[in-house]
Amino acid sequence: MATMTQAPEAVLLRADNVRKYYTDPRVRRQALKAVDGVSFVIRRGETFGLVGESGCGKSTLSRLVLRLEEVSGGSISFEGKDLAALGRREMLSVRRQMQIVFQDPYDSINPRMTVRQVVTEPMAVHRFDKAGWRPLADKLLADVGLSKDLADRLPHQLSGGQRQRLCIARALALSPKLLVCDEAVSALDVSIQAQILNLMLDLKEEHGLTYLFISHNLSVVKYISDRIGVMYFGKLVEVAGKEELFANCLHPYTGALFSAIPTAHPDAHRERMILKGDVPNLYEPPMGCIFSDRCPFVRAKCRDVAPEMRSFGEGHEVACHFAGELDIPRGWEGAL
Amino acid sequence: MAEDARILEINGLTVRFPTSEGVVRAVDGVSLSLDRGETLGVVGESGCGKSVMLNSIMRLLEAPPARIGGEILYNGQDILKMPKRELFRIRGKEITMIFQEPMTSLNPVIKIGPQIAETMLLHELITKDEASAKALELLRQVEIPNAEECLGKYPHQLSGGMRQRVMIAMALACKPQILLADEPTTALDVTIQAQILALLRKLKDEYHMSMMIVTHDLGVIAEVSERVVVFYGGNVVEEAPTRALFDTPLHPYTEGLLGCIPHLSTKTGRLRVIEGNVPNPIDLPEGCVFAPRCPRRERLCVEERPALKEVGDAQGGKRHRVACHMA
Amino acid sequence: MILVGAIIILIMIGFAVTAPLLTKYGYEEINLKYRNKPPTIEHVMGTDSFGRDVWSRCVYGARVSFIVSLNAVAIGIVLGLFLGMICGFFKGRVDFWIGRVMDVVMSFPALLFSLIIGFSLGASIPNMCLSVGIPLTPIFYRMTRGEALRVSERTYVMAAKSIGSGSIRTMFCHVLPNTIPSLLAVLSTCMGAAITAESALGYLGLGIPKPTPSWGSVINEGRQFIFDAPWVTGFGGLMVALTILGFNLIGDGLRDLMDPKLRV
Repeated sequence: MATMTQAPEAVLLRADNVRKYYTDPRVRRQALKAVDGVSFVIRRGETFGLVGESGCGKSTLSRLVLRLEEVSGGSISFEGKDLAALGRREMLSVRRQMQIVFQDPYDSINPRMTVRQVVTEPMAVHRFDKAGWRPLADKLLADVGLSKDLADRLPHQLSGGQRQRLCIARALALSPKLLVCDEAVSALDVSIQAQILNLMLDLKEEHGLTYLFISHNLSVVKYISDRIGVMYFGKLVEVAGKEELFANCLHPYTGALFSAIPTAHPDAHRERMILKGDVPNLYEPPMGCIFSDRCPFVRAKCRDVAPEMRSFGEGHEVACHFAGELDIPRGWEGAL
Repeated sequence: MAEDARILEINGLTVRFPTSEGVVRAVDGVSLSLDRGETLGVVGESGCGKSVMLNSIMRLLEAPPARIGGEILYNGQDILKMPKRELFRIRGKEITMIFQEPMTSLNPVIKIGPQIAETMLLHELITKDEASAKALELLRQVEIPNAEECLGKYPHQLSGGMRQRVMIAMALACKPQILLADEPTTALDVTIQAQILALLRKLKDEYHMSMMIVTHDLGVIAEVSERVVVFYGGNVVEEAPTRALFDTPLHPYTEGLLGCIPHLSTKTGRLRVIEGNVPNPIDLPEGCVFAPRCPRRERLCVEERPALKEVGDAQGGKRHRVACHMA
Repeated sequence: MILVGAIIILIMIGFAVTAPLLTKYGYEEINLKYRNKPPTIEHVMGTDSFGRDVWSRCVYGARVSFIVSLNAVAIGIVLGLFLGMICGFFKGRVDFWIGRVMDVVMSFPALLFSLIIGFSLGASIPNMCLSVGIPLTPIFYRMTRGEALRVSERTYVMAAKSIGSGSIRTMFCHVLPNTIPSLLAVLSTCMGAAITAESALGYLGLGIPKPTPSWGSVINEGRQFIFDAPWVTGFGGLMVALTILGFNLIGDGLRDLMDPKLRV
């Protein structure tokens, strides 16, 4: 396992060998390994980005982090407390400190509640003093850039961007320390996406937030994150600081992901690596390294032995047998 | 430019849908053209009318309720006024279309092979055996591994990327003149998207067709298209060769759009944003559609809608046009 | 539309409540001279085979029909909503066992069920409510469970969980309110079914002891003479049809009213 040398106070969230397997007894097949042995830490005040393609388990991981689902193995600890060991009451107080913003702003708000009801709901659940509800709600709405006139509207009268602002306001109502953003800008139009990203950066400064930012969009993740983890089929294949990852990516999948980003300008010439083949079948993952069936650099060892995470320089970890020996194209230069 | 270089020309297209809340002006006076052998990118945000325009080229909109005006000339013939017989001859043969979600456009109970062969049997005088032989060849062309095996599979047995390849194979079955693509890679993962875009580029040259790609993703545009049309609120606000558009965007909306995408090279700092929301197609502003969000708005913009006008010199015979009073 | 529905139902309830004021003849007054007479000024809906005033019987019949069908539907809804909500929201083993019990109730012919209750407990209004109401339970149960399953998959339920909302709170604040609109659609059909079931029981002699009329018994008594005196069955049927129409209009209207998208 990876060595983690940070002082415990600096670490807000620690995931250690987290696994989540789904078994369907009716199908009686091998368990679906949505998340398979993922370890990482999120330090206080940083933005940790998690990228990966659909079905790679990044959303499942976000739910595990918030204990909206239970882990099948391994542990997740928040400020040193193992979430799985917490009782109902303790969990409720930990919940106040970590919140989530979901992808689809059209599905994540109860259509029968007004804007104010949505923002005050967390206050009701956590029994805030009723007198404080209204001023706090007004402040939150102002913080996320929603006008006061909207407070009595119903969600369907809001645009997608406004709904997502509302979701952020609801999450901030409990003054969390960690905000998990699960594809929070992916469903928005690009011009709105930029507004929300800026808002998130502003809020981070104002509220001293730590983000776990999950997205399939590398450009967005690069823009907002300090450190980035790359996931592929339930496994974390590479973790590094943002600049380090882009300057010196070591896992071939990371390279392929960079290469796949469309070009920003028609004139940009790029050395690209386009993957052959399709995403693997979740129920029949390849033996050995999970990426071995699509990897252009695959060797015999890759098909037999699954690689462990190894450290390459400060905070840069890679799960590849041949990390550092491969010539991965710097496909991201000139990319969007 | 010689008249016959244009394979498709749209003049003053308007599409309206009456609803209980008012008339939705989905497309509000759009004129554009597609040259032979060209790839035209159409870019815009949700609800800007780009897909509706594409569907009206194929005459796929139910009218009524939709009210369609203007003309769509294919080789000089107006598709909107064409008799049904003529339309059926062209649609699916000379003009074909691929969609965002391939699963919903494939019939789930028919195997891939017969499904591809069906289009050919419909439009060409060939036997079933010839059709299935051709289907196999098409699947190879769209780079499906184990093409023989794929012929006997049902759509749900394929992954999203493979289904999109099948859709492309079907679209190519009758060697079309024009391929219309509606967000062809939006539902796909980035690594698969890169494969499909590379495939489309290759096939366009092999088949000598014209292609119109509708997308919200400027990156896709930069990858495949030669010329770009920018849609906003049912209007074309800018039209330019791709390079010119990325180098010197003239419309404030295009500029804003390019500015608000985080590039991999963007250093931390705030993104440039376009304030406000996407316009409601039920009450589009009287003047310039972008005026309410425009940083360079003046009184004229609110009062009068600007027409597309030509600016600068034509690059390689291609015009740069912009609909802005201030450009 | 909801207004039209409400007016119809209010008129019918008005009939039931003020029956003695609206009628000249008692519902059991037999006049053998006036058997099977068509409508006249004296008897606006004509007379039946015993020479009884059909209007009186219809107006008094509204009492029984309304009491039985409203109570029966109330029983069905309370049981069905409660069980369906538990199953749809909590799923798992509870869902499985309640589901099997509901399957049994559903596979049992409703009329047979009513017969058993009728014979074993005797014919009375509370028993009729029960015997009509219980077979309605699975309809509401299935509807509620399906809706609850659907709604609890929505992200806003997950969001409620993430802010720390407990199961019961989430169920009442988020799942239940989004389940009810679809129930309203079934509600009106079930009112109709209940009135029909009540009529059928009346026909089998398991309804209210004769000669107390209900719409069902009016229709069924007229049935033998449908060619000589079609007005008996006709007017009885008209009452049932109008009432069902009224409930349907209210149901549709309520559903639209509760859809936040259609609210102005």
